[in-house]
Order: sequence, then C-alpha cells, then structure tokens
Amino acid sequence: MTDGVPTWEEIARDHGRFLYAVAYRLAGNAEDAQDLVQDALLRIRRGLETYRPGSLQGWLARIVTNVFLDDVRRRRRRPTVALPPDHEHRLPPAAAADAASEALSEEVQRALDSLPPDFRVAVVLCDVADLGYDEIAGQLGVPVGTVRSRIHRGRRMLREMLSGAET
Amino acid sequence: MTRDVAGDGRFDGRDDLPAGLAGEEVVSAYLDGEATEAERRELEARVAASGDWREALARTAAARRAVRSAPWPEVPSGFWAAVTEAVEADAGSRGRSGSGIAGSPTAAHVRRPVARRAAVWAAGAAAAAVVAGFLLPRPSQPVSPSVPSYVESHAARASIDDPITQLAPVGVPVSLSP
Repeated sequence: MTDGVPTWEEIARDHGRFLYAVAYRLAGNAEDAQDLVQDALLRIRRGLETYRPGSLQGWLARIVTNVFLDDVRRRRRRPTVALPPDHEHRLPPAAAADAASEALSEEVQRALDSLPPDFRVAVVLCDVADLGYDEIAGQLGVPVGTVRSRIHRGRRMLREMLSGAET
Repeated sequence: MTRDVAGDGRFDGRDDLPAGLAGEEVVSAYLDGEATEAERRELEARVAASGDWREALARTAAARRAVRSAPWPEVPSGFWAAVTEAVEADAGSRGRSGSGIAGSPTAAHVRRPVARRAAVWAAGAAAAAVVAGFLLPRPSQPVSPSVPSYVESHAARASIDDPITQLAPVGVPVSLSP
C-alpha cells in the first residue's frame, strides 16, 4: 500500500469476499458473479491511479455496480438466446457450506433476482454494500428521493416474494 | 402496482396496492437511519396509532433483515487463483503502466475463461483432497462453527442497531407471513 492506496492484490485479498457478495447478489448466479468480479478487478487495477483514499468499499461497490449495469444494458441492446448449460464450467459448491444458511441465502437471492435491475441495485448497495442513500445517489447519478423510493419499493417486492416463499 | 407515470422507473409517490400507504417510503428511510427528525417523529406517532403502519414497519424491517442477515455466498475454490491469472495476463498485455477501459478487446479476451480455470483449479484441489484422504488419518474434530452457533451469531448480528427493536412497546411480532 502506498499513500493509503492499496494494490489490486490487497483489494482482492482483503475485499474479495465483499466484491463477490455484491456481484453475486446483483447477478444472481455464480458464473455471472465471477465474470462481474473479474471485470471489476480489471477496472480496479487500471483505475487505482485515480482512486483517492476514502470509502474504499463504496468505490469498489460502484465499480462492480457499473460493470453489472453495463452488462444489463448490453443484454438489452443485444438480446441473445440462452446457451445450454455448460457443465464443464460449473464449479463444485464449497465443501464447508452450511445447508441451512445456503437455503436461506438462495431464497433471498431468488427474491432479489425477481426485482427490476434498478431496484435490485439500490437494495444491494444499501443492504449488502451498506452504503448510505447519499452515496448510492451519487454512484447512480439519481436524486436521493429516487434512491429512497427504489429501496422501499424493492423491499416491498421482496417481502411479498419472501412471504409467498414462506407459505 | 405503483404508478410509473413517465415510464422511466420514477414514481409519483402514490400507490394502488391495497396494503400500500401513502408516504410509506419513509419506513425504509427510518429503518436505514435516513429519515429526518420530523419524519422520524411523525412515523413513530403513526406507528403508535395505527395497526397498518405497525405492520408496514414490521414487514419492511423483516425484508430488510432477510437481505442483511443472509450469509454471503461462498467464493468457489480456485476462483482467486484464476482471476489473478486473468488480471495479470491483462496487465502483461498492456505493460505495467496499464491504461485503457474495460470492455476493450483485451478485457473481452480474458472474460469467461475464469470459470473454466477455476474449475481446473477446483478439480486439482479435489483430486489432491481424495489422495490426501487415502494417505492421511481422517480428522476427528467437528466442523467449526457449528450450525447452532452460526445461526445464533447471525441472529445476534442482525439485531444490533436495528431501529425496530426500539419500537418494541408498540411493535408487532415480525414475520414474513402475510
């Protein structure tokens, strides 16, 4: 680390799980999350010169969110037919994964996946990345009132999904 | 559904859902510590006086807690080795000064292989584990943390700084059931 600016290896080591968690909650599956993290780390490595010491996790969350939103826009512009699952690329689940917490996580993930991307991003930045409304608004380039609206409406959709899953 | 009058993802603040309450967005702001002092006072008065508002607060708090307390997904084994290889390959192809933006041909070139590389790393690790299983005595210690302690620690962490607990005297049991 020099002048408070970490190297990308330090970021991958110290904040890798955070990056992966945000990416997974946004993307909804392991393979897309891995792509998001890889693209984010490429941008991080190239953008470290522009990083100014401050909210490192906020900066990381912004980069991974931008990669996600770029991907969403790209898919909207060029809709593609889904390829058949490639089992060669599937990764085995972590050996120590706890079944109960994994089931809870999957249930929440399914509910998050059902949200429109703009709402999902707002909820994930608030509840996974733990950013404040002002920071989220700055990152997304929208007014704070819009952030407040997206977070609450996103949560209302979530609670309806989770209520349905529970009954 | 909520009205999206301009069709641009922005909303007019009104709500058609039978369970919806005008101005209900303040509930999330309150839970996140983002409500103004006046909003906070008004919401607490409404919650004290109205079952609908108590239910809106409780159910929103439950949805918020569900996302916050859900365990982070496990990173697949071998992933970091694979992504390090990909990022270093990108750096090597650009020189150590590294410039340009993601989405460039170089970035596209290194995309996707990460899952395959990680699978190879994982397969190698799995093979090593099988060999080790034959050669080494089996571990007798239980996996740590145990499920009960894990669940308990999550529950405790989720309840810390949760503003809804401060409304316990006027609150309703939190449940995701309708």
